[in-house]
Amino acid sequence: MNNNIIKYNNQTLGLPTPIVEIKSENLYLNKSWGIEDQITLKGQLTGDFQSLQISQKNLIDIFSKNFKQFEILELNSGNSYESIYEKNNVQVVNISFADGNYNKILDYTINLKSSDLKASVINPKNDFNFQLNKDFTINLSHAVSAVGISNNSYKSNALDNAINYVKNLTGLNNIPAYQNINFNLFSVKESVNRLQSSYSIEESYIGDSSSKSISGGINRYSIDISSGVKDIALKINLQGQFSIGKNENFDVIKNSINPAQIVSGSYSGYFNPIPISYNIQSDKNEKTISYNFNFDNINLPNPYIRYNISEQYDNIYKIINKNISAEVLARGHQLERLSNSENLLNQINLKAIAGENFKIISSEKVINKDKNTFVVSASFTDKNIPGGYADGKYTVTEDISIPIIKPNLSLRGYILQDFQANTFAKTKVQGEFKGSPGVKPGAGGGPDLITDTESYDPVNKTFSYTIEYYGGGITGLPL
Amino acid sequence: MAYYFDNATLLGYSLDKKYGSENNDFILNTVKNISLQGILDYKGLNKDAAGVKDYFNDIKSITASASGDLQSITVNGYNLGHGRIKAVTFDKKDPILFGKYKYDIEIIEQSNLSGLSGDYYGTFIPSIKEKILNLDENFTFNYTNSKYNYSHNLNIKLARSGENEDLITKIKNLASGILNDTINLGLLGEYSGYYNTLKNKKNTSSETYDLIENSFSFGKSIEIDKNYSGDYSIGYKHVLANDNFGKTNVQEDASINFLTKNLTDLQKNNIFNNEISNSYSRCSGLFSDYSLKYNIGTSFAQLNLKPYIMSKKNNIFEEKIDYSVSYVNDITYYGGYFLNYEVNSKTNNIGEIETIENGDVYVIGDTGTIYFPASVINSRKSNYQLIKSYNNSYTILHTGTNYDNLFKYSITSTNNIYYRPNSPVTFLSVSTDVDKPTKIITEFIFPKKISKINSSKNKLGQISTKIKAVIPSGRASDSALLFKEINYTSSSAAYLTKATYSYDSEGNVSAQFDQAI
Repeated sequence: MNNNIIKYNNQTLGLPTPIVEIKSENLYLNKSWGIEDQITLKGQLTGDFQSLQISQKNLIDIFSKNFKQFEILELNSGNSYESIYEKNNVQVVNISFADGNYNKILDYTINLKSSDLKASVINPKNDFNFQLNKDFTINLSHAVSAVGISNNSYKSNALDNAINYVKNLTGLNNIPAYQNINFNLFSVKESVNRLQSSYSIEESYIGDSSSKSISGGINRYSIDISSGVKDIALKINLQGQFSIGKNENFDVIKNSINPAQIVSGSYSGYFNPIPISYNIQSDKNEKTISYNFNFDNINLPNPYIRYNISEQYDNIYKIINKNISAEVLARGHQLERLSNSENLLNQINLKAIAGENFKIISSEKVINKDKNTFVVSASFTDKNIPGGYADGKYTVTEDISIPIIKPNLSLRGYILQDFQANTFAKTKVQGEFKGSPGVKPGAGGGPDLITDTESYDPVNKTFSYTIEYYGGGITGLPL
Repeated sequence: MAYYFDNATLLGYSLDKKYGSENNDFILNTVKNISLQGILDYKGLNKDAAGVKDYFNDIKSITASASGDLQSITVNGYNLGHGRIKAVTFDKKDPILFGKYKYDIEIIEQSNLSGLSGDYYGTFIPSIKEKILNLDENFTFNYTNSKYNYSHNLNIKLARSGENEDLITKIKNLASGILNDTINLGLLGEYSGYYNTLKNKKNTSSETYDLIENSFSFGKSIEIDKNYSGDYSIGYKHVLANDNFGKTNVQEDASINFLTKNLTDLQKNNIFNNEISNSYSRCSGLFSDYSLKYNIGTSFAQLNLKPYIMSKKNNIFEEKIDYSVSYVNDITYYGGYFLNYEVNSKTNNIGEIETIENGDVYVIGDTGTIYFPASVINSRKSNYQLIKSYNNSYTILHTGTNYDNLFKYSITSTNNIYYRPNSPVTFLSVSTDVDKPTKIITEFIFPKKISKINSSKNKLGQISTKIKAVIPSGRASDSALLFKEINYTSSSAAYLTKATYSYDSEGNVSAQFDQAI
């Protein structure tokens, strides 16, 4: 029996047993010390050309697998072999056969490597790059990579080791503290070279260092406030974009945005929290929300009324005419506006606006639900209309009492005959009014009625009358 | 062609086993380098011990036969496999009686990748038995909020295994096997496993063949929207706009990217139709969400079920459909039609109210399916008791049954009871003139005196009833119709002195009844 035998992958190398050289080296790798043995086997194969070929093939087959057990055994006193050197997870670096004529002897060299390392990866990389931008966002690039090394005797687990190493270093929890800023992950790049057992992850984060940061995303906005000397209200425009991190629940985080609250956070004056109009662009895939809200600072109820009043003064008849229109203005959704506006429209009292002495001439109401139009308007006048009618007037015509002088034809021509008496005075009152028949303004009269007529057209609500009677009241004429 | 070396002397034989990497268990290849030496014997030919012509002829012949192509190599009867001649040298200084030649031969043996096993490596790579000189491979997976993509790149340098080998077919099979294997890569988060799911989906690829160096590159990449479902991926964008009238429009813009190869047009349309049919719930959900969560309002009409505007762009060759569909919460929407009207009520000083309703009816449908919305308009008319006039306008396209979809109408109504909707008689005026009886007064004029005598008798008075009305032409002569409508009865204290009834061909009717009182 041979004193020493060598085994790899539980297969014994043939005779003659090769010479073994072992070179041990302490290695500092990945923050830990380990030992790497470089094992060199120098041996010879013997035989003729053909048997050398067969031996060579057998030797190659023994070392065709990596990461197997290498053992040197020695015959002990009990005539059994005991292991004097044993390494698991041995890597076959190289097998070479010396140049020769393949006759009788063939030298060979086998280089093996055994690494007893605590580390499971080599070439590790764990880089953070922070970039603070003008808008208080912070771009963070986190690159983690490693090449795995196998520490498994069954089969290589190098790629597993690389993956585990890298994945353990990724994620929000592994970011070095940076001014207590919350970072949000926006993209990840993963690279694998499975043949080289290398694995890398590049994470891109964005953090928000502003005092108005929102958890779960980056919210950036601008608030434009404008007004002019001819404007009665400020215009406030809020435009912004909320970018939500890829690991966040979009449907939950989006609720973090409250436009009115955002404006109040930057504008201390009053503004009406119900927007005039708004536009929201929601991209659930990109996890972005772009928003645009228009507010003003009109501090009036919702809805409120806008009155337009025009007045015409007739300085000859001393009459004032007024046109008043009232428009209901509402905010919010169309349906909300509809019910509120109609209710308010029905409560509008334009006569109260016009004044107690004014009579309504006509009125108009316009409702367009789709266009959100709710308008009521009326015309008023303070013209005196007798009898309580809506409109109309009466005319009094008097045949005034005058001397009776009649021409009489004589031989000398016409001779005026003075009867020395006066005609009877007669008065005629004619009235035409709008409305149902009622009193007859201007109609005096007495027992000697000459004419008493009246007419009523219920279709057109026209009431007219004529009263003629003896008598009169006109005095002071130069008769 | 094969090389047979007899009586050759083996000068050198080295074997280099190339492992794939330090950390993996696979043998990329094994290269044997063999040096052979032979003798060229010219003793018989050059008995005068002069001349090298035969030597040069042999050099020419040997050189010509050493083509460098892969050939079967047999040395002294032992076949070493397929190899190629790297170099032939002739270094004898005095080749008159003897010459020497030396062949440097390279034999490449099969790769052995069987050590690459497990989920990361699949089943194809471990089974490769080709002669690979170089193998480089990498995967890149990118994950953003909306997109997922991966690229798989492969560089292979291959040695031939035999003469007349179809290397292109072989490398294609090799690349296809590697690029389509089932492997557990693409490990992060929600996308884990997508590699295997998507590997057979529509992708872009690149292939490079260097047939001189036998070096080949292959690349395969796929990009999908995060929202992936079977045969397609889709990305949605929504715009929600609330205009100055408080009306909200929610628009969905989306791109459908078909991933499964060779989908039929019918299948694509089914996918599109399915997305459209589900778009309402997405838009209405969004509308409810934002309206409530952004404190914009609590009372609102839901979005109308019918898409307000829809467009579709079918990019045939990119196998992509872009579409846009919008919904509004239009309160003028009534299912099959939109009805909007403006009501204008005017009240004059005698309390007469004239109400004018101007409306538009948009019937929803395509040409040929549009119906005349009589029931809609009649329903509006039924809201008014006394309709003075009614107008409508519409457009007919080409034939009597093809309507344009806009129908306009106008209703003018009154509260004047003399406009009787159920009667053919429309009164224009009804007046009763009363000339009351007065005493007969006679004036007498005398010189220096005028006097009047009041009779105890009254002169006759008169009641005149005058009616102006319109009765449709053709019925205007039916005076009973008019009398029935006004319920005319003569006064008991009076007697008729005159009665007239006149009409014209246009339907204008007038009547007068004079009664003496």
